[in-house]
Amino acid sequence: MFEYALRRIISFIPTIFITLTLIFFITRMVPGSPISSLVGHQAVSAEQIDAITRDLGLDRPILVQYLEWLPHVLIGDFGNSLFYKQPIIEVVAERFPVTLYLTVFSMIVTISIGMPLGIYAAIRRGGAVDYASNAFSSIGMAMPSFWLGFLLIIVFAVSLGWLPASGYRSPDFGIWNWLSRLILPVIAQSLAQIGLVVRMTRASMIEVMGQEYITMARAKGLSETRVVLKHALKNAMTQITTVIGLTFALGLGGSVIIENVFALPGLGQLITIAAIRRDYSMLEGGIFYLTLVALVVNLIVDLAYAYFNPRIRY
Amino acid sequence: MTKPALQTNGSPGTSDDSRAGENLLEIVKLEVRFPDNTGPVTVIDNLDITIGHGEILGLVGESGCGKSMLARSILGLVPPPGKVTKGKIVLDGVDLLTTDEATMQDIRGNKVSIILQEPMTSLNPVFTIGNQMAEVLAIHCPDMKRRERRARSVEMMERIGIQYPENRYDQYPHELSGGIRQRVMIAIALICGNVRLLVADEPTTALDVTIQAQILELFVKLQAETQMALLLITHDLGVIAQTAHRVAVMYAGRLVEISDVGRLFEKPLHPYTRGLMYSLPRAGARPRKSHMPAIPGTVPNLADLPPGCPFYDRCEYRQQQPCREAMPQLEQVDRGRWVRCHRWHELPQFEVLSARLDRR
Repeated sequence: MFEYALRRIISFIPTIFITLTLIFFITRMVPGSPISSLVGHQAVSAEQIDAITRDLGLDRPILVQYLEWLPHVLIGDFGNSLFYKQPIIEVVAERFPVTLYLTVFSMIVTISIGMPLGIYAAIRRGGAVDYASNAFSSIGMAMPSFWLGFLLIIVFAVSLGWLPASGYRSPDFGIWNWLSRLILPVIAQSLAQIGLVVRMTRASMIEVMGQEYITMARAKGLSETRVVLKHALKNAMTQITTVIGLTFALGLGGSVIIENVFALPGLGQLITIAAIRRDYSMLEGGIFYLTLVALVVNLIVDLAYAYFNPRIRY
Repeated sequence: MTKPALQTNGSPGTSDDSRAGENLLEIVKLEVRFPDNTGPVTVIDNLDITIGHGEILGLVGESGCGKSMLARSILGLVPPPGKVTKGKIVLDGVDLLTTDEATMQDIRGNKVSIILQEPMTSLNPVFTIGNQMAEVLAIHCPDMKRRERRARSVEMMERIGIQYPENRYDQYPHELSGGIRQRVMIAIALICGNVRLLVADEPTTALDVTIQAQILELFVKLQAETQMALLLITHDLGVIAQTAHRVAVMYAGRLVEISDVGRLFEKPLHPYTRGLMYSLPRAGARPRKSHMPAIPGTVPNLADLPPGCPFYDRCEYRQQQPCREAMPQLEQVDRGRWVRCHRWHELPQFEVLSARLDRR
């Protein structure tokens, strides 16, 4: 198992390499350049722009730029942000916790509501809860999260005034100040994820509950609770874990939207701004860390398989 | 293999020729139904049978005749949407159909155990063998400590003839062969040591022939040791001949013949039973390449039973009158011998199997 984990971690390197190469070329091939963002509306002569371009090395052929860039990136050095004038790692370290809180809390909410609901819907198939959760998950998955985010702001922040509309405070400002600003974003982020987890949990539980070993577990005299929570759930967990891992990765992507709607200074917002400004190194650095988190989560999911299903041996 | 003599005072017949208190299990007028688009389908119809203390009762019939449903009814595990709609199942004076779920849980795996047909799928793939054995002890013997449960499980595996029980304890089902898995199922069924009735639903069907013989031998040995009653469900009359004291033949959800083993094989009364016997393969009795004798046709669709005898379409002795007209009733022929056939007394003498086959 340890050896397997190690092999997987080594396999991260090509994945990240490919991701970064793609990012490098795509960002430089789209129209626009960081210069126009840097200059803004100031009146600048064409000579000055040429000077800055030369300074940044952007006048050279793209392949030359790539070959020079590559060795730095492979040792994790993304250089400085063009706009923040700070090493990338420092900018990311500042923003990363916000995204982490958002995704982790959304995950906790998703799992703690989605799984029990899915299990209950499966064992009471055709019951009221089953229909209700089915409707709920369809609605949740159909609603775009940014739209839901605005709706939540209108209802809970503007009309009712219960929660702040947007922004972020670190936990140093007090737990409530911190948490209250995360509640609406977490709800907006979770709703679609819950729908997915409910459906997957329900489907795999129904499949497992029809197996012979479930009849056998009942025939041993186990209570229905133990039959469901011990014998059925552990079998269903392999499939459920896959969806949870997938949801987490999607959630990281979704945070780009949610952070912009709620003005949360997280990694997603950072990347959006970097993309608009063509802040190449910032964009590459930001995406590198997001990819890394997604890969680590995938690894954890794969290792969890072995725990839930002993037939898998690494 | 030697079959032990029936030591307790087993009941020879159905409920009404047995005396109260003698039987371990009495099933009275059992009816099991499944809802269907066209209305309920009766998969077990008005069935009466008893099992005496320490008796091995063989239940025979083709697939789909209701054998497994009967087994599951006894444990209260008829798969939904199926339901027991009528009747009584009385174990030691307690009606299992009206008792509460907590009492049933107490009985399952403890006083009444079941072994399912498919050892590949009836063990949970994600728990160790030991976990699945010790779990039964954890529910039914809550005073046992973890270490005692392990010791008992290992000891049980040893008794069932599983080699290296200590190693097996920590293995997962997929690491074991079919024969060993079926032994583990037997060990799980008997581990509490209180089993009065063991229901074995086609326990050897999924195993290869040499393993089948070993498992049957094990059943007979364990039955003699524990004096438990055994309901042995099979479609193989050969298995019955080797192990059972008494036989019940089931067809289309109904009992069609009940007899002790000796008299059944000597003189089967119901045409269906005769058909099953002709279908038994015998070594050397048949020239090669000749057809395997079989009962023509298949079990009728229970949702759409024709009037009269359900076996009518496949019966070689059928007559429009009275077979097509009325459903035959289960009739007592002799002490402990029952048959459901209008014409049983008119049927020609049953020919000795080998003689008939030799002539072909």
